[in-house]
This record gives sequence, C-alpha cells and structure tokens, in this order.
Amino acid sequence: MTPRTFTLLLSATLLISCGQSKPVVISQSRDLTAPERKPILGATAQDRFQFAMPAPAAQEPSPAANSGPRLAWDTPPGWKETPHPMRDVSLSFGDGGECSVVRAGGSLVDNVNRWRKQMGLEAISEQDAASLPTRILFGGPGVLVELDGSYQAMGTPSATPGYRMIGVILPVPSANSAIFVKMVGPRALVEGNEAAFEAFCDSLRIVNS
Amino acid sequence: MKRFPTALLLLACCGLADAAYTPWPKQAVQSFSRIPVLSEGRVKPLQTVAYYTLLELQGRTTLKTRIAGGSVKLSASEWLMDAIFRPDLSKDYPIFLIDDTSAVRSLDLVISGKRKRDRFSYSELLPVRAKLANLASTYAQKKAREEKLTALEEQVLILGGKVNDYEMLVASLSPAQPNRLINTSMLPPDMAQLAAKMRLSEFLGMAPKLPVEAIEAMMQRDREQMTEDERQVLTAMMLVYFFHKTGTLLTLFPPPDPQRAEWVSLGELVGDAIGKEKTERAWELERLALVEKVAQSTGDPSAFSNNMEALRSRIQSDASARKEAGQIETELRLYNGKYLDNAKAWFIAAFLFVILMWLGPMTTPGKVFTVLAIWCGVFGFISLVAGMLLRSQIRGWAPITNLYETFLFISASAFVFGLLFERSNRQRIALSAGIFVPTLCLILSGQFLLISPEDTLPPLVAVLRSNFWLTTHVITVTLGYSAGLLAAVIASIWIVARFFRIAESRRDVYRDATKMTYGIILFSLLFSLVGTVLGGIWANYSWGRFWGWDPKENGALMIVLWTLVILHARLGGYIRDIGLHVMAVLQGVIISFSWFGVNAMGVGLHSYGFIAGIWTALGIAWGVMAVIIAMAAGLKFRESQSAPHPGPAGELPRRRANAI
Amino acid sequence: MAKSKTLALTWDNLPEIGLRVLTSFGLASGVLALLTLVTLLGTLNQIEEGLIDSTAKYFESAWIIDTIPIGKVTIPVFLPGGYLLLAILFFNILAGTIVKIRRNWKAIGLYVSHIGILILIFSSFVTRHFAWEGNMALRPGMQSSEALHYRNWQIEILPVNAQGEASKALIIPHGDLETIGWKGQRTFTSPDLPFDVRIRHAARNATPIPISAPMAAKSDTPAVDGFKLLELPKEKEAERNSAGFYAEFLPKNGEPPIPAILWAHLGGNFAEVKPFTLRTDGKTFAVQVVRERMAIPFTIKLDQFLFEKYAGVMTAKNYQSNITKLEDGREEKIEVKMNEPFRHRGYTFFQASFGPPNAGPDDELYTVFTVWKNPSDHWPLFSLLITFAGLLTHMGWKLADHLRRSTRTA
Repeated sequence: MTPRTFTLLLSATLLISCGQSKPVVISQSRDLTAPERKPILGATAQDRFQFAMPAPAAQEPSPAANSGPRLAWDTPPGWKETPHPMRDVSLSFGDGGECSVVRAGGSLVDNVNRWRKQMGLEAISEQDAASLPTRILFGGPGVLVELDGSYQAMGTPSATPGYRMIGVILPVPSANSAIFVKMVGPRALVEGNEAAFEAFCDSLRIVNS
Repeated sequence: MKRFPTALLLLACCGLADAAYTPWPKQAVQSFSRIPVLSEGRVKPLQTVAYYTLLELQGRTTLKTRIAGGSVKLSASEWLMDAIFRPDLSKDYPIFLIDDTSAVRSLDLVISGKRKRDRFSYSELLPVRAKLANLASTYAQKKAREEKLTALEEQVLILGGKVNDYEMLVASLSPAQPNRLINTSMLPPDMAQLAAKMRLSEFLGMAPKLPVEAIEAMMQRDREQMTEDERQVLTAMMLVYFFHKTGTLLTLFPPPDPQRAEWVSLGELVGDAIGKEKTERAWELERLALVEKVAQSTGDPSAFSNNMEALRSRIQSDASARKEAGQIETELRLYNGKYLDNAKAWFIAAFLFVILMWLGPMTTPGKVFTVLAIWCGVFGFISLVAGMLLRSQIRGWAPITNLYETFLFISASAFVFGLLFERSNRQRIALSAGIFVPTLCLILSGQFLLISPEDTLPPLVAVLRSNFWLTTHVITVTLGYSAGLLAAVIASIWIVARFFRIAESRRDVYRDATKMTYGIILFSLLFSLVGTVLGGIWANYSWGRFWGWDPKENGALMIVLWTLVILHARLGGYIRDIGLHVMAVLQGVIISFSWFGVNAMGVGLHSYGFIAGIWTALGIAWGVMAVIIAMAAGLKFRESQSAPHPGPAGELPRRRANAI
Repeated sequence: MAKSKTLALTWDNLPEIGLRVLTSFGLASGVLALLTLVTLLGTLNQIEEGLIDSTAKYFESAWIIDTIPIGKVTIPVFLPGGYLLLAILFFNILAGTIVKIRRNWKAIGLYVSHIGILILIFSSFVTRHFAWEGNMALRPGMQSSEALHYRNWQIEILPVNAQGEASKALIIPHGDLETIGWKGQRTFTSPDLPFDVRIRHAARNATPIPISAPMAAKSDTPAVDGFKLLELPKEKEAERNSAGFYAEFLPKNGEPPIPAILWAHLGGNFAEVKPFTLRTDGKTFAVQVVRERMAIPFTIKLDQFLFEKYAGVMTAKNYQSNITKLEDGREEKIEVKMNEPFRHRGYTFFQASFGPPNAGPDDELYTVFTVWKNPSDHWPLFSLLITFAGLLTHMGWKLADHLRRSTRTA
C-alpha cells in the first residue's frame, strides 16, 4: 500500500466517519481555446477581487459600520451638509457652491484631466501634472489644482461659464486609490470661500469611534 | 392734436393695442403648421410638435384664454407662433397645468384665485423661476436615486419640467430674434443690451472664424487684462455661444451632408457657422436669414405670410433632397380632418340612441332609434378606419404598433363583431355592446393621451419592425381582446337585466343572448389561441425562445386558458347560464389586466407603453365588474330560493364533446 | 356514451373511476383554472423577484410554496406548480381525446386540434429539459466556437505545465455546485489531480470583502489573504449574480489544506479571467470560476456589426451582424438581424444585443448573440398549424350543419 493510497483511504474513512457524503468524482473536462491556454498566474487576492463591490443591500448601516475608523471634519461657518450617496463628504455654500470629499482610483494625470474636462479645459501631460503645486492633506503631500472655466456638472446638458474649481488630490498608492477634496462654484463665490476651504482641508482627519 | 396730452395719447394707443387679439394671417399659420421638423426620430409637421407640447403643458390641444377682456381660442400652431414670435403677449397665457396648486405655494409664491387643479402663466411663475429649477433638479436627483417623492414634490418636478420644455421650445428660434428673449434676466446686462439690437446673420457675415471651443477658451481668460475691443468681441461671442447652446430644441434644417443623420437646429447652425471661415457660411446664413425675415415681419401680415412660406418651402425642398420629406400632408390631413375626434362623437351619438332605444325597444320610436344608432355607428366606424388608414400611411406600418393604437383597433373590430352577431339574432343586445365598447375605448384613448401626452406615432423599436408579425400576431391577439370584451359587456348586460327582472317573461331572448355570449367566447378563443401561439413563434424568431413567461405573454396565455376553462366547464355541465356569464365577465377582468395591467407593472420585455396612472382606471373597471358578479351571485341565490321551477330561463342542456 | 352513470366506490370500479376522472371535463376545467391562477400569481411575483426566479418558482415547479404580501397581510400560497399542471393537462387531453371524442368524421377537427395542443405541451417539456441557452459576444474580427450560459457558473481547474501553459480544464459543473448552499459542503476528487477540492460555502451571488471593511463582520467565512466571502441577496435580474465559493484544496500527500476564495466577477463580456493560482506537490494549477459553456461544432467570426438608430432619439432602428461561418475549412458569409436569426445544425444564433453600454459615437461596438440549442425549436409552429387546421375543419363542419338546419327550418 503506497502512502498516497493510505492517505486517500484514511481521508475517505474520516469523511465517512464525519457523516459527510462521498467525494464527487470530477468527470467533465474541456479542451481550452487558444486565448485561454496561457492563464494569468500568481494573481493576488487584490488583483482577483478588485471589482468586488458591496451590493446596495449590503450598504445598510450595520452596528459594525458605526465603530472603527471614520472620517471627521469641521464644517466651515455658513456651509451646510448635503449628504450625497457617492461622496464621503458633501457640503454646499452660497448660491451654487459645493465642496466634496471622495475616494476613487486612477492615475494622477487622469484625475487632473477629468477635472479639467469638467471645467472645459484642455488635457495636460503627465509631466505637467507632476509639476503641480503641493498641499498637505491628511499629513501627506497632496496635489493642488486650481481651475477657472465653464463648469459642466456630471449629467447636466450644458456648461456654465465663470466657474472656479479648487481641488486637492492625495494619492494613496498602497490602496491603488486617491482622496479627492474639491470645491467648485461661481468664481466670485469660490474666491470668497477659499479661506474656508483651506480650513476645511486642514480639519479633515481620521478618528476612531 | 397738439393739445392732446401725450400721456393720454399713449394710453389710447395702449388701449387700442389691448383692444383685441390680432390673429395671425391664415396663410402664415398654414405654412407654419406644415414646416417639417425632425423630432423624436421622425420627420413630422411642426403642428404635431405644437399639438403634443400644448397637450403636455396644459392638458388640451387648443388654448382658450382672455386677452384684453376678449376671449380668444387658439389652435396649437397659433399658440406656438405666439409663444415664439410674441413672447410678451404669450407669457401671460395660462398654459402650465398643475394638478395641485399648493405645490406652487411650496415655492414661496403667493397665489390667489386658483383652484386646486389650475393653470399658471409663465409670468406668474417667473419670480420663482430659479427656485423652481433648483427644487426640480433636487427632486430629479432624488428620483434617480430611486427614493420616493411626496405628491407635492412630484408636482414641483413635473412643473419644473414643463417650464423648462416651454423655455427650450421658445428659445429654439431665438437666434433669429435676439430681441425677443422670453426671460432677459438669464443674461448679464451687457449681453442683454447687445441682444436687444443684434442681428445674428449680419454679425456672422463678418465675424472671424472662432470654433465653439475657442469661444469657451476665450471665456476663461481674465477680463481685467483685455482691451475694450476684445471685451466687446467677447460679449458678442458669448451671445453667439448662448444662442448656440439654447436654440437646440427644434431641429428644423436638413443638412446638405447626407452622412449627417441628425437635422440641424438654429442653435447648432449658429455654432457651425462661427466655426467656419467667413466665406464658407453661405448655407447657414441663408437659412438663418430666412428665419430672421419671418421674425422681423410679424407686423406686416402679407410679408409675414410670404416669408413663412419661403422658409417652409426651403426646408421642404432641403428635406426632399435628402428623401426625408416625410408624410407632412398626410399627417396634417389626419389631424386637421379630426377623424378620431369625429369617430368618438359619432359613437357617443350612437350610444345615446341606444339608450333611447332601450326605453321602448318594441315601439316605433325604438325602431327609429335603432336605425339611427346603427347609422351613427357606421359613420363613426368609417371615420375611425379612415383615421387608422392615414396613420398606417404616415409610417408604413400595420395599424397596431403601440398601446394607443389598440384602443382604435379594438373600437373598430368590436363594432364589426357587434353588427355580425346582431345579424344572427336581431335582439339589439350585440348591437348595444358593439356600440358601447368603441364609445368607451375612444373616450379612454383620449384619457390615455392625457396620461401620456406623447406623439402616438413614434418610431418603432427594432424588434417590432416587421409588418408580417405586426399583421399576423398583433392583429389576431387584438381581435381576441376585442371579442372577449364584447362578450364581457353582453354578459354584464345579461346579468344586470336579469337581476332587475327586466322582461323576465322573454326567456327566449335570454336564452339566445346566452348562446350568443358563448359563440363570441369561442370566436375570441380562436383569435387568442392562434394569436398567442403566433406571438410565441415570433418570439422564437427574434429572441430565441418560444415562451419566456414574460408578463405580456402570460397575460395573453391567461386569456386563452380562461376561455378554455369556460369551454370545458360548459361542456362538462359545471356551469349554466349564470355561471357562463360570470365567467365571461371575469374574462373581461383578465383581458383588461393583460391589456394594461402588465404594461403598468413596469417589468418585462413587452412593456413598450408603460403608464403609471393606469391602475386607477383598472381599479374602477374591476370595481364595476365586481358589482356585476355580486349581482349574479344574488341572482343565483334568488333562483335557488325558487328551485321548484323546471330550470331557469335560458338554461342550456348539457352537451357532448363534439357538439361545441 | 358520456351518460353519467353513478359508480359505487369499490375496488372493482376503481380503474373505471380513475379513467373517468382522468378524462373528465372537470379535471380539464380545474387544471386550466389553476393554470390561469398560477400564471397570474407568477406574473405578479415578477415585480418582486424578477423573471427567472418567478419562472422557477411558479412555472417550472411541481409545487408552489410561497407567500404573497398584500399590504400588511401576508397570504400563504400552496398550489400545484405549472410543471405539474401541464403534465396533468397533457394526460387529461391524451386520455380525453382517445376516450371521449366521438369517433366519426365530424369530430376529426377536434381530434386534430387537441393533438396540436399535445405537441405544444410536449415541446415545452422538451425545451425545459433538453434545450440549452447561452450567449456569444464578439468584437469585429474575433471568432469563437463556444457559447456561455447567461446564469450558470462552473469551477474549472487548469493543470499548468512548466511553460505556464494549460491545454484542458477539469470542470466542477454548475449542477453539482448549485445544490451545496451556504451552509452545506461537498468534496470533489479526480484521479488526475494531486488534491481534492472541498467547497465549504457556496452562493449564487456573493462578493469578496476586505477584512478591513465594516461589512466583513457580516461574513461567516474564515479570512484568506485579507478577504472574506459575503453572501449577497440574489439579484432580480438573475444574470447579474456572481457566484462565490469558499474552497479548501486538500493535498493528497497529506500537506495542510490550502484555503481559497473563488469568485466569478461579471466584468463585462471580454473581461480577463484572473484565476486563483494553486501550487502543491510541485505542480501549478489555475482555478477559475467561469460561466457554463457549450462547445459549438463550427466557428463564428464577426466581420462587421451595424447599428442604426433613429435620428434625435435613442431608439434602435436596426442592428445586424455580418458574420462568417467557418466549418471544415469552408467559409460562408451570413447576416444575422433582429427577427432574422441564423440556424445551423440545431444551433440558432439570434441578434440579442450589443455593447458596450453607453458607447460614444466613435467607440467600437461589439455584438451579442443569444445561442440556443433546442431540439423542439420548430415544434410550436407545427403545433399551431395542426391546431389551426383542426379548429378550421371543426368550424367548417359546424357552419355546414348550421346552414343545413337553417335551410330545413326555412
């Protein structure tokens, strides 16, 4: 009796003694098509599950969700919270000014250009993006973006001229993601609220509750 | 005259201007109505756009209002002409219908003298325009997140949509008349000033090439660093940009490039022009100038008519060059001939004669009323069929392609069935039902349009584009609906008449009516069965499965199954006359569910015409049917009390299987 | 013949009573009425549960056990299912047709039409048990000879050689996985593999969840590589479910078990599959969850996809795929359009849809075919023709009768 047969027998006996059903013999197979013959090997769990998305039903607040680390900030005077499902923080001020914190993936230049496109501006190169000024966010080096243009909010048919956008992007390479803080609104309004925005950025922090 | 104070003179002039509404010259209205426009996937006359927009805004297709003390009635085209060319006058027309005016109060608008369901004018809403837009967009987002809106929020959302649609429609010709903006507060003062005196075709005739993107880039620049000249150019260019972005709703101009599928709106035309070299703008400038001429000649009836006709014939020949002229004349004939309205009127008249006839069926007046009812019905039928034929001619498809058209087809076919069965026993029951069904259906078709005020001749989705299946499956199934509804109505008449002991001694009449109901049910079975299986075969050709348990399929199946239940229960002797009629009424419930209910469920492949408000109507119909079934139960109870009688009137003997 | 003579309920009479019941109009009416009711309930149920689950629960089942909420009241439902009812109806019609209908020429139409209905019911039975439905998505220039199931997933184990290449996949089929459930477990073995596979949790719809996420507390699987598996409620549209399994690989050489979360991500039609890499006993295996697939004995290549919409609206006017069929070295050009499928050797290709969703004007579009293999493909058509002929014949007889009688009375 070879060791393997022994093991097999042993495990079979164990299985039966555990009251489990017999192993099912795998009887089907198929020949792989050409593009399938070189499977991607060594993918990490992060790679394999990068598209995993909690379903809407799973988003209901659970007791667990209320504990653990969470985002905290100080709402500047005169601003008010306008909760938004796609944003971590969503605030509004004045007539048409808004400010948000979101997390999302993508490279720095792509994200800067996404904002530039919203403001009706030309895309810039990776080098240009790398030379943007920095601003500290969560204690890390964020990238400061200031844009003037005609703003076209997502889902709106047309752009409104005379808008200003100020944003900070903090890349988080370990999570292949980035944190975005953005203020946008009519130019005069945004200019009047720049100090508040500064204070807001400084107040952003992670707390444990 | 010198002694006449100027103020008084002014007042007199105002009085004069106010004295009466100046109607548009007839010819101009005709030309305007016939301008082809590409809207929602189809080339149609501008009148049709006006018609459905007015229906959507104010729930009617003509406008009645008081102007300067006088009452005025405007057709949809005349209203649209006022809206576009006389914004100062038309902004006071009460066109925004709202079901619950308290929704407007939530906008902080003080209103008085309005009923719960009432209409507002644009001027009345103007003070809260911005707030309305904000709230409506908030609620639209809420709805997009699938959150439930309160009834008032829903009303605000609808009103916001209406005001927006109206502004877009009016703005669609603004590039040709910058001085007639409906709401100048949309623009900064310098731009508004310029707009009041600008003529865009002249400006575009000399302005340098500056693509829209370049204008956008220019708007980014710091104005502090600009020279005064540059600033003036910028203001003008921003105005061009404004018109380019806002004048987009009516796509009126067939482009010369055959590759370009979409027609061009005046706004796009302006954007195209400024993006080209000065010398290459002839096509755009010519068309813009045509519209400008119309806009500038509103005070001169004959010039206005001529200019309107010149614009129309230019667009028409541009469209013909692309072979996209559409069926403008046919469509105008359909709407202006009022075929469907007339059919409704004839059938209502016929129905009134039917009621009069039943007051004394055997008397001479009763016979006269019968003849009158038949003739009114025939005229209604002819008018209806003519309307349906025109509709088919406009698009080249079989008569039933959407829910609205089922009303028309069921009306026509139920009348034919009614007459056919009337011939067999001449008791005027089939005739009455055959007139009642179209009357009801045509009234409902009008209500349906109010719930869903959209063009009833929309382009067909890919799967429906097959006249073979549209004629075989759709028509057969609809004939099954029609016969089943007729049977349900006759059964209802039977039950109600028996319940109220009408002509109780005429057992032969009741017996014949029972036979007839049964015959119509068999008729309906033939059509439903064949139509349903044909639908399966069609599904097998287009979706790859014969049967998918989709709601509409199930609705048709339920009709077939229930007819088979009636058939076999009758053969087995389980139901007699009352039972048969009750089951026929239930068949009516099932048909109405299959016809509308599944569309209102909002699931499945077949929900081409989804309507939310339909459940109320169904609830009423089913309530009535429930009362009739309760009457039948009462009848049954009464009969069981007087059981010794050798069998109720109209009892059918039990039969053998092949004696169907 | 159909004189109803009352029969006493005795053993001797039992066969005749049975036959009477089986052939009775009462049974026919009852079954048809129940079918009407089941169809209604199964239709309404789709608002809550979607088409696929409702179909399984109401129309393909022997019994229906469900609850229907009406306002605040919940009504329990216990009814025979559509499958059982159709089966009873089939035998009722069969027996009734043989026994009941009078054997003379006048009844021929009834015979024929009932035979047509029998064929229809039988073809639905064949479709239910022997048909296979899937889809094939192709970009222009791409070719394929297999179709993927819309909803069923299978686990595949690919032995990989030293060059990183695999030539075949061992398959744990959907049927074996489906019945495991979240709480159950099942072990799979193969003489070709140096390990057994034990599935300890299986869910039709699931997601891996990082243990750092608050939601991870809801999962009862052990953590592997920083992830747990969380069972999710089933989607209303069944093809949006992505199956997940918590598996353990049990090396036959006695080494400790290797746990893994296996998950199928939907990821669109051409998503890259990233398998779990298993290294044991000096060998490498790729383990992946993929859609159940059907091999097609010929190859389809997409040459061009044409899409036409109406101007100014999003309504599709027509879409069409120009394909080449490659078989035994021969090529054939074929157009597949809406309402004009392509049939070949028992396989049918329908123009089902196209993508990508929200494509811009310049994006390259791909086509999606629904692929059916259905032995009873055309039977409903035969059934319809037979039934229709039967009904017409019968009506003809009736009409002739009627006319003869009216002439006599006149």
